[in-house]
Amino acid sequence: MHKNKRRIRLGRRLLSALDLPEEAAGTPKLTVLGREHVLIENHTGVYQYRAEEICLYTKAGMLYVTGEDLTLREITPERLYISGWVAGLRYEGEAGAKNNKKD
Amino acid sequence: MNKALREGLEIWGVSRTGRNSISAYVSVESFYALHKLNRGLHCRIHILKKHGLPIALSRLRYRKILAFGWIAVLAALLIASRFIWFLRIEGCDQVREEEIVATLAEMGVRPGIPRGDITTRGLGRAVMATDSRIAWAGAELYGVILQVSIREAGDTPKVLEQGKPGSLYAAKDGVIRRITPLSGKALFNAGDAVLKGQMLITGDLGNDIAVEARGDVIARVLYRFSYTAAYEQVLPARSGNSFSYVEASLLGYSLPAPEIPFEDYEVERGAAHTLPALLPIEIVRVTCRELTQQRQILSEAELTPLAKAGAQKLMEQGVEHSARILSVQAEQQTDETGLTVILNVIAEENIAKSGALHAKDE
Repeated sequence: MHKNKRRIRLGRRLLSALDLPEEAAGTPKLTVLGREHVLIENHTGVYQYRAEEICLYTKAGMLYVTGEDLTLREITPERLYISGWVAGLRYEGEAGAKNNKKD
Repeated sequence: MNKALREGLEIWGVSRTGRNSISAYVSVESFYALHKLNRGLHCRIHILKKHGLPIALSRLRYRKILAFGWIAVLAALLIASRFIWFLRIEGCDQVREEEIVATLAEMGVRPGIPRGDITTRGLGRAVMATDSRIAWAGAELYGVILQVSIREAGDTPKVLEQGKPGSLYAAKDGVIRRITPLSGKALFNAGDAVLKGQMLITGDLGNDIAVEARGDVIARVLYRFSYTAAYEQVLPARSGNSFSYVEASLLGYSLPAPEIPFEDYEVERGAAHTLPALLPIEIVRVTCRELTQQRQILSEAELTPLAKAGAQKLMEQGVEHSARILSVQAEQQTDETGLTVILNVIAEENIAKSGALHAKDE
């Protein structure tokens, strides 16, 4: 766990030195437009999808998007565009959560 | 879903449709790839709806003749659109459309020729050169329609021939409203009162230059017409003789009437009676009363329409046909001879008439 945190801090310093945005290191970037659209970049996979809750793997931990009639309008390995009625966003778990599932 | 994403499959519009089911859009290639990925996942994939060009084309795979037909129609349309099929001529008035079509045909422009063979600018110029009545011509292509627009030249102005030098004189008394000299010099202005015979436009321009005076002199002219109707008039009146007959008619057709023994007569028709029979035969009694010319003494009321009609007739004969009547006022007088109706008419007309160059010559 400590190793993970150290790696993150090191990555941040490196990005800062190179004058690059933080998301270049895979940090999740969330863009919320009103309460109906959420764009999540740098996710690492979908853990669970229900109309009321979507759980995603990110490097910052498990990201939960809660709401109603949630739809994955666009889904690619890097981006995920959710539409519906968004009630909340929350992180759970430790940073560095990874989709290691073999499916 | 994660496995599909890792394989780079295109998936979008994912939504939950039930507790254990989702619906999503996939491309045709991704759909086939999805089947391979599904092995061992215990998921079932159903196609809900297929749409898009690849699907539409795949349906034609087994209908080769139909596909060939469509291709043939498209090809025919494409080829046909390279030719001119219709000619549209615009702006014809004096020049007839058939003449323009014939001119175009002589130039080799007719329905069925390729569009590429036509230079619109050159065609317009060529059409313009063929007829002096055409002031301008232009051609334009609208798909398979060749539109040729022409503008006709207006009437050439008439050149007046100079005749013998002369002046214009007033044909009547009047008040000038408008004086327009076309050649010569006006001697009066609008608002001036002139008497019959006065020179209005002179042809003598001075310095020994004389022209034939031309122009219009519109003036207000007062006319006065009177007609007297005598109390004693010879008018047709009943002589006392009469002739009667019965007229029978069936469905609008009647028997021919007998010969009437009078030269002039009035007809009186009685009430129609229908015979009580099956056929609707109508019976009418007709009486003809003889009229002869008789001297009569008429009252003022009886004379008035006669006198008015007489005065009206005089007015129609006396006022110029080209004149515009502005007002008519009627007066009525009675004396021992009869009833007189006087009409005072104000009319506007051209009072200029040609005459000698100088008034003393007139």
